[in-house]
Amino acid sequence: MLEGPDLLWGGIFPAVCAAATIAILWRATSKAASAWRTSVLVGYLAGHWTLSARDLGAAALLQRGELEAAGTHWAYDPRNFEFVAALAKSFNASEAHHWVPLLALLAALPDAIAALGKLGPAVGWLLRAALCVFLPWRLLDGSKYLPLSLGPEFDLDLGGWSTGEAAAWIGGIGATLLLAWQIVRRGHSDGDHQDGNLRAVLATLVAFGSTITMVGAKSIVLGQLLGVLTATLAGCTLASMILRTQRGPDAAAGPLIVIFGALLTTGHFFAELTLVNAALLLAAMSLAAGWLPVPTTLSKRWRNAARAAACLLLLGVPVVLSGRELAGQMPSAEKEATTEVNPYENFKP
Amino acid sequence: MNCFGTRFAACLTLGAVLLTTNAAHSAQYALDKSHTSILFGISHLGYSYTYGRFNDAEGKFTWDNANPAASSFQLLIKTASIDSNDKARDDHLRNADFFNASQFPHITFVSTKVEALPQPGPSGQTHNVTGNLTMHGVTKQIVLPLKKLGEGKGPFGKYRTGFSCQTTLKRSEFGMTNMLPNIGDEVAVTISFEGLRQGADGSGSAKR
Repeated sequence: MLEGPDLLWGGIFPAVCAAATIAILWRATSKAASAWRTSVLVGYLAGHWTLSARDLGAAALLQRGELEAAGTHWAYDPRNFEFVAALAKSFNASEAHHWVPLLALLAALPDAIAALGKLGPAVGWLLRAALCVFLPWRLLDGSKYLPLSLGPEFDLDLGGWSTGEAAAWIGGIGATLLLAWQIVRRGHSDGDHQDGNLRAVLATLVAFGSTITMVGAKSIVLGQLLGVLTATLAGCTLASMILRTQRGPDAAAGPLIVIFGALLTTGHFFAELTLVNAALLLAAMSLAAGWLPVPTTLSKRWRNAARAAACLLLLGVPVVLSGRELAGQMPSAEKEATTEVNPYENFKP
Repeated sequence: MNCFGTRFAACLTLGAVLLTTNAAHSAQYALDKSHTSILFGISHLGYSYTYGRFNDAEGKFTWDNANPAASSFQLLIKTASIDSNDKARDDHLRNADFFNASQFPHITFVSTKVEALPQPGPSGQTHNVTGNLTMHGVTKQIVLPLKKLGEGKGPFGKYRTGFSCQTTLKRSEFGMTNMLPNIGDEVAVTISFEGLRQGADGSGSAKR
């Protein structure tokens, strides 16, 4: 399933883009927070749009009957990709995951605004709350949960949530995301340089575990997008360690939580990611990247150990369960052997 | 009444007579689910074709033998009813990688024009039905080559009319680009359906 072009465009490319962005911005401005925030955005958007452009490029080549002429390595050549169509798709989306780039761009605003002036923090908080409620509504609008009318031709009960259910789900998801965002934002307040590196590594691990879980939830597309986020965080982490930016993923709390939260929400409602697994993964990401609720009297070593243990425990449950599910779907050697048995070998006419 | 008034009244009367005659020829039908098959076939890696079906559909149509242009068709397929004889694959086809059945629970077709052909077309079609197909959140105008198979009373006295059509769709045109080109772009679609005539002349419910 995972081929060379997937690794290149969904892994190496976003990682390099993220690392290059953090390096350029850190050298140019020495502002670690905005460098982290921008590089998470740049890395994710680069990977998301490139994968989308590649898929659209394959369709265009097929429709023009040029796929064979493009050769077996067409997917390595970005000249075959449809970048304009991929960008347009994010602003005129039909599927929930197409909205993620736009939501990620919006997520960069509140934390940037919060740093401006006296009213900045209050405005930033309001924008954060508004975006956290907008996110689930935007992803679910028009789906079977919040259906749109099919027109006068079809007199059909479309089902969907009642107003109360819709308010509870959207409010609940919004409040959970807002809480996660606040936890991650507070990461810097109790961290130092080493802590930042550990948080970055743990956040990358959580994103990687989420990729496995999402593939186990039978969505390769959403798994690929979580893979892009993993690569982006890996690129940022590596560059941040080398450059000693003294910040971690808490600086990119907005884009990180919105991208991660949007993909988990999409995975739960449109693939088979269970609510428990989604909640565990979000909790793992919040603890990995953000504030850790342990006594401040604990030494740094014990705090780091507690963070790593809590995060890996929360991550381990969904990953192990998904791994077992995935393994169960693979044809086992025993099954293969049974298919080779000839039921007629003892048959004597 | 002046000359213009007399002519206008005559035109109105003629129009009303024509409309009444037209209405008398067209009949309403409800889709008979148990005699409706929606099948598809798609290339797997270029090595074989995998076939599947949608098991749940609803619809209605108006059919006018004398004036096919007055006919119309509406079909709604429940995306989650996809069945390719492999549960794991069906789950995958239902989720965000392909049909995204939770996001797009229905595939709909609403006709906008029905044309009778002077002679059967290359696939044996007797009519061309133009309409809007909405699938995976994308609406496109398509032409379905419709073949009228027959009509008459069934063994329980209900009046039925049946059709079939075969066409090819490109899934990429409906935004379904995942796993191209390994899973083919062109999808062969065959739909065969019967309608139960509604009204006072021995028709009944279309439910199973």
